[in-house]
Amino acid sequence: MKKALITICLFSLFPVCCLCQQLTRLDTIEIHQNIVKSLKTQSKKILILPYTKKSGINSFDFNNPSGIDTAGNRIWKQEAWKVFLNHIDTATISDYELTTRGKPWFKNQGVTKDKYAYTFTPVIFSKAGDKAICITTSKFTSSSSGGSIAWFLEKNNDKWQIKEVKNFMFND
Amino acid sequence: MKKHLNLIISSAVVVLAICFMQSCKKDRNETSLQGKEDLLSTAESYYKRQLRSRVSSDTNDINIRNYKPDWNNAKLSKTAEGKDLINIPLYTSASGHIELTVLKEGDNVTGVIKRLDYATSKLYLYTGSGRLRSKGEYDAAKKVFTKDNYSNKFTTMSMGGELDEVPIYGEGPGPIIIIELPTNPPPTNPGEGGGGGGNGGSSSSIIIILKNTRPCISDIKNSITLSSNLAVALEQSFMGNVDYNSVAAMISRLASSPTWNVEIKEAAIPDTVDPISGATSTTAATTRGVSGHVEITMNTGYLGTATDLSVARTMIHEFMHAYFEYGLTQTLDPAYDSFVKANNLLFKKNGSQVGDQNDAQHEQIANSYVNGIANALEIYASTHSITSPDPALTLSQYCKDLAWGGLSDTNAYSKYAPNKSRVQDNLKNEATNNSKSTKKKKC
Repeated sequence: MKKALITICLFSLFPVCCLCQQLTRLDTIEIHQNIVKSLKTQSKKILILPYTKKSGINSFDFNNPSGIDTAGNRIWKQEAWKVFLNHIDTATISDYELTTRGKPWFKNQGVTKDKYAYTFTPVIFSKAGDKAICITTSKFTSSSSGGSIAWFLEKNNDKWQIKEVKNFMFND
Repeated sequence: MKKHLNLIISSAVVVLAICFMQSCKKDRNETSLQGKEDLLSTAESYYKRQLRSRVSSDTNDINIRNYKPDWNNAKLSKTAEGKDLINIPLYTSASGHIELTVLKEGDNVTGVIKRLDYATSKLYLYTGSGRLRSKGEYDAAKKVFTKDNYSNKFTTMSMGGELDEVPIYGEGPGPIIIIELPTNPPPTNPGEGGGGGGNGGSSSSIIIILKNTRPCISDIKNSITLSSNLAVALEQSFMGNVDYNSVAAMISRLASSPTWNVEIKEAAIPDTVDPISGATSTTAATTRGVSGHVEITMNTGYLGTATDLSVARTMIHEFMHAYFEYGLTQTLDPAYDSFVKANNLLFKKNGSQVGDQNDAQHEQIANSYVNGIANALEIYASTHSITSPDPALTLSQYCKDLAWGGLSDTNAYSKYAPNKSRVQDNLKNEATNNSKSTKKKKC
């Protein structure tokens, strides 16, 4: 009887465990890579700083990312996203380097003037491991021009995809 | 004194222009639906029936579920034959108007949706469920609609379908008269206490200066918006049409659209550090969309050193960002198509928005609006007795140099800016009010 109860408990817990996807360092790298790939499509020469800066999240409103956008179909308006964003504890977020054993994840070829330098914030994952948000702040190397972008990603079929992009700050 | 005289003359011309246009605006012969609840309920039933239709995948059609009928402002009018027409606004802005018109004739109820884009004077006619049936030029003054190529697609109107009984007269390729639509609202400057008119409704101040912001910000903002409104009003009076994608029209719209709210404040913005060289640079201002409005923050440090002309330059630049931010969210606006066409650098080839809008918006400004910004600056300078401090440059050339401010990150700057070291010097001179600047400083 006892054995049967344990078996039932284990079986009932199985789907719950499956819901929480295991996150690895590869998930973090894949997200940064997706964002860099998207930035590169704009054809500008870009520079990726090899470390994250948590301070980039300070000017982002996690509870209301819409700003002036009144569209009802934005991803952050979905219930699951609202729950995720509203429960982010920014105090627990720590910076990290975009390197593995000293080797940078992104090669910055010809680091000179006149490039957009992008700084990432750490990637923030949902508890279930199927959603993530990351912010980039940019600065043109020879002026104060730049901006901040929030990237909303979801994991589908083991792949991270950018689902929505929100530009929320323009400098100069 | 001269400045005040100029402002008074400018204001007088704007007011006269607005009065002139108001007088040309013919009222629609409409009455309230108060006490005619049966007609209103007929229209509501018709609208609900349309909601049952499937959503069209044709991008020429509109999805009526995206619009909220303004039943409180529904009006009753009559056709030439005395039939009842119930007009319900679906979407109204300074750039266009969409309304559903329901025709009741005995037990028969039909409808048409009309979408008028003021920027292009294009009128689109849809079935009540949002399927495009006809489009063409609409002359609001003559109330004449001339269809685009009278193609086979639109001959289906006479072959059955929901448009059969909608009173569109003179079937065929020639000019045809249709149900009246509101005329293009004249630009107003509600911030100056005038305003009203138009379709927007509210006449409250749209660009708000927050408390604890130095008074010169308000003066500069008022001067820029007033001259922009003036330019648009004059263009409308003399040319009969307005280029809605000009800098003056953009600022005018920003300053007069009831739903486009901008707040300007001043605060200390920390210097930015170049990640490569470690050099610091001063951020003049930031623009961001927050709940319900766009917030422009002018850097206290910059305001402490910059000339009025430099502050005006920065303000116009931030207004452009604010305009783009609003423009990008107005996907249901009748003028959205022309916004996309005029600002194609903000979009990818597949029509979606470019990821990094800061970069894209700067490219768009640098490619399309530098001359417009220079003109606005020159008008500001002229009305404030500001002259070029460089004897080798006219005021116009000097203002054009300043118009490149904040755009040095763009490809267009590399290609088109006339003399880059001079541009950067002039920008710096104005930002620091040094001896080579225009030296006019109230801030």
